[in-house]
Amino acid sequence: MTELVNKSMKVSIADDIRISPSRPVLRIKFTNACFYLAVVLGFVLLGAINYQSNSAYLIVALVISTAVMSIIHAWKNIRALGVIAGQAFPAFAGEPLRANATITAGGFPTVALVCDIPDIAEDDGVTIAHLGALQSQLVTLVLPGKQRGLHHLRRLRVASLYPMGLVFVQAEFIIDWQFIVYPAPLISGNLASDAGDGQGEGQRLGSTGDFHGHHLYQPGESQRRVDWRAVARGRPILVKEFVSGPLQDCWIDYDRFPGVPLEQRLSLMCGQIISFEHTGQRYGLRLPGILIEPNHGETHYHTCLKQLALWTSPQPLGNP
Amino acid sequence: MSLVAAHGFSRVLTLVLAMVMATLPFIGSLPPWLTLGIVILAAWRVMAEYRGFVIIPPISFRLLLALIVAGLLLLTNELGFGLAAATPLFVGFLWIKLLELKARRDYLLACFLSYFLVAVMLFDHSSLTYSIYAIATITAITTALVGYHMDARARQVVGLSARLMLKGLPLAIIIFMLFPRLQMNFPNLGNATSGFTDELAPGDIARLALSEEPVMRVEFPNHDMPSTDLLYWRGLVLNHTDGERWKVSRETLVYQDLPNATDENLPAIVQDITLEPMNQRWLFALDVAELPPDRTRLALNRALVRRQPPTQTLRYRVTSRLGEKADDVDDASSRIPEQLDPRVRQLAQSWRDQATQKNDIITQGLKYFQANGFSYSLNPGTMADDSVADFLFNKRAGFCSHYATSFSLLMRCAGLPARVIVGFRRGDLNQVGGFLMVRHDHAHAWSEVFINGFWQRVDPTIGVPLAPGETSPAALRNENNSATLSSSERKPWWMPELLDQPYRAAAQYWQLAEARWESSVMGLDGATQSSWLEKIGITRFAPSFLFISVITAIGIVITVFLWWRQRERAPIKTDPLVIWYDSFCARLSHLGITREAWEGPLDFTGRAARALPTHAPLITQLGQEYIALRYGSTPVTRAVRARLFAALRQLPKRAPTPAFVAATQS
Repeated sequence: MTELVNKSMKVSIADDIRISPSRPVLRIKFTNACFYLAVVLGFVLLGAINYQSNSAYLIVALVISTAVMSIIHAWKNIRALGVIAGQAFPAFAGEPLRANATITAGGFPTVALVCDIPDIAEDDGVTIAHLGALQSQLVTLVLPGKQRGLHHLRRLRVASLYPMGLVFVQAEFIIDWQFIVYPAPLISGNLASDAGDGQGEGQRLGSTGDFHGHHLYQPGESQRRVDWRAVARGRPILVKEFVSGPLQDCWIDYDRFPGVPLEQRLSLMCGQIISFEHTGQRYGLRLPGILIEPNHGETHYHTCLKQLALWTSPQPLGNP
Repeated sequence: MSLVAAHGFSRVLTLVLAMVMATLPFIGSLPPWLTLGIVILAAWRVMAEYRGFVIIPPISFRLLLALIVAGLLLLTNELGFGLAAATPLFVGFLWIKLLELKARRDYLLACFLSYFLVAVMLFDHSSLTYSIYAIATITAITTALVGYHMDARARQVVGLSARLMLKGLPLAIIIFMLFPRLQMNFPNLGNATSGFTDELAPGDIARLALSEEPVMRVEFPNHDMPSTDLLYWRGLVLNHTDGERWKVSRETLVYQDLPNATDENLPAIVQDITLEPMNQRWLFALDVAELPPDRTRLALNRALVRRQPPTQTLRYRVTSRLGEKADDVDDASSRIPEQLDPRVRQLAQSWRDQATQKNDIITQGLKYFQANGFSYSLNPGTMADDSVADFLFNKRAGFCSHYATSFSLLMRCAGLPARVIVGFRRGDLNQVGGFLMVRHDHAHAWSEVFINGFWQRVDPTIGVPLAPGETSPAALRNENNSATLSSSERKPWWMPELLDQPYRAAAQYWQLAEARWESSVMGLDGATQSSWLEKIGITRFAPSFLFISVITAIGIVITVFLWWRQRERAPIKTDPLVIWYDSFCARLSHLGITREAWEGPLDFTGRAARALPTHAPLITQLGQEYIALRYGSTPVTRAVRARLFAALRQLPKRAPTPAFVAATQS
């Protein structure tokens, strides 16, 4: 009998170690409240012994068994959950990161869940009050901003204190969110001349150009060009577009900012990309060893920004 | 990560309701200003939550308030060392907690302290009514706890907490039955309940005689309840008097081995008595006790003495032999107090002079009370300085303790040793359960006179006529010897006459339920547990019991967990179509065509039909049908399912041999 039990236990432990995306690691932790309750029940027990009060024993038994049942309920509430990691949105450095995940309930309703990322301490999490049987809900987690580059978040936690707050049950899902963090955009004053210099086809850019039209605000866009007056009138958040003159190819060149430190240089380039994209201008990107032909549009915009995000200097930046 | 939302109106309201339920039983013992403060606190918090704007007072204010409450309780002398005395302070602090309800921790602490308050109530009251109320309160507190951790409708929250408790009930019963009952008493925690003292002044019993609280319940396991006029529940034996008060003289309380019963033919009555705590060491039994209960000594004068006053409802079994008489002798019982009205001596002397034998003195005394204008009254008014003389010669009205004390005194003056016995007389028979309920208003005092070498019971109160206007149940019982209804059995005034009998029956059933509760649930003790264990062969209690129960518990938990885990992992197949398609694929797999994971039903059946040309039409048809059922709106009825499975049986079980294939194709 003992051997059999040991064997089964070993198997189950081994299964937990082999982590697959569909099966979370479940953990159960007693809260402080559990300790307080134990202390109170201890005092009741002392009283019951002193007064030989069977009804007090009965109360202790009732509360203990209710607490045990609550722990089982807490476990059941969380054990059949599933998570499908959704999109992790790219963002500019320092701006909050957002990622989607779909939480799916098992064959019974689930309540009072909080989803968060255990690797990030200051995350408040997203609360799901109720999730019906086999239903799923899309949650968008907002995380604090990070440095430029590629970041991975591999763990998502769904936890609950339901139903009595005596145990903290958590399901930890292994996911893979890749966040691409673009450089923080920096718009320089002599942007246009920077960009056009050399080719003689520079364009004056930005808000000083002719008004071209509106487009709906996309998350991640600079708020500088939002038509706040239109917003105040109750219209949706619109971004003003400006053009000046015929659209021509521009080059955003790494080598055009001599003496500027790497991060600042990338930020400036990032600012250029945003500006060109918003004016609808065609632009290309030149980085040492990388060349992206001039184009415009959402895909091109993100391709260029991604190159900046992932860029590492081929040689250490010495004195130029 | 914040796992709970801020306190809301409904959450705080639930908590306040639960706290009110926990506090309600103590309202009577709280000073009025504290009750008022609690009401104000509760109203303030609930109103503030309703407005959605709560200002938590600073810690200094809360501390000050707590100090004020403690100080006021100390000043008004409400605060003592015992638990019962400290309850107002505890209640006050619990409600001040409401003032600083901020974090989740505060909320949970308030809930847990309310649990404790429920237990404090049960330390004092363990009756069925209180236990039911306690369970209701526990449910309310659990509801508050559950409601805090989930956002749901009130009905769902109450339902969940009730479900938690119901599901836990089997475990609760096991814990309750198996938890070892330890025997220890901590000093200074005893709770005081009013009752007899070791002294008796003539006017003392009136206070008790007006109370209808049950004091003890007597069951006769052999169903041999004696007739009503023999039901004298003997308790204290008072043999020392100063002419005014009577008390137990400790010197004469002798414990020796008692002689065997004088007459084995006298009926021996076994009684199972449940006695409420009265803060005194005396136990009661039918006149006269022979076999004392556990942890109780039987004195030579047949008084049952407990070493410690019971603090809880006490159940004991005692055997009495009816008609048996004590024969102990003590000096105190013939001592006549020095200061005594001469008229008392003269009266006793006159009886003695007239009597030819000693029995005649007693008869004379009883006759004296039945004539001469004596009457039974619970309100005889205050007696003058020499109360015995005043009662005998002026007032001539009183109740059992007046008659018993003055009669015993007269007997001593007449030369017969006499003492006063305090106990109860009769009881109300519960027709349903066949047991006797003895209430405080059954309290009685009578005399014992030493005559012919034995103590003889004499009840001078019997036969005394009722005073005009005297209507108390105790007085009526004395007058006409018949049972009277206690108020708990009388229907309330607003009920129609028609319900009189049903109400009485219901009241008696309720008494029976209480009796069963007391005897089976509340009566559970270490001895009962040991007897269960002895039945299954465990005689050495503690170590083996603990070991076996722990091992068993662990075994049960592991087994249940493994079974549950196994069940968790098994795929759920409830859709009949899924079950059928699985067996269809399995059947074809036997025939050599295994479905690939990526293959849809159309591709798969097409491939199977080409590979098994003999069964092609059937396979194609089943495939079409499956697709129609799976993706169409036709429901899968029992008939359809049966037909599908029947069709499955037309497929061969084994793959056809190459020879067979060649034969059919040629």
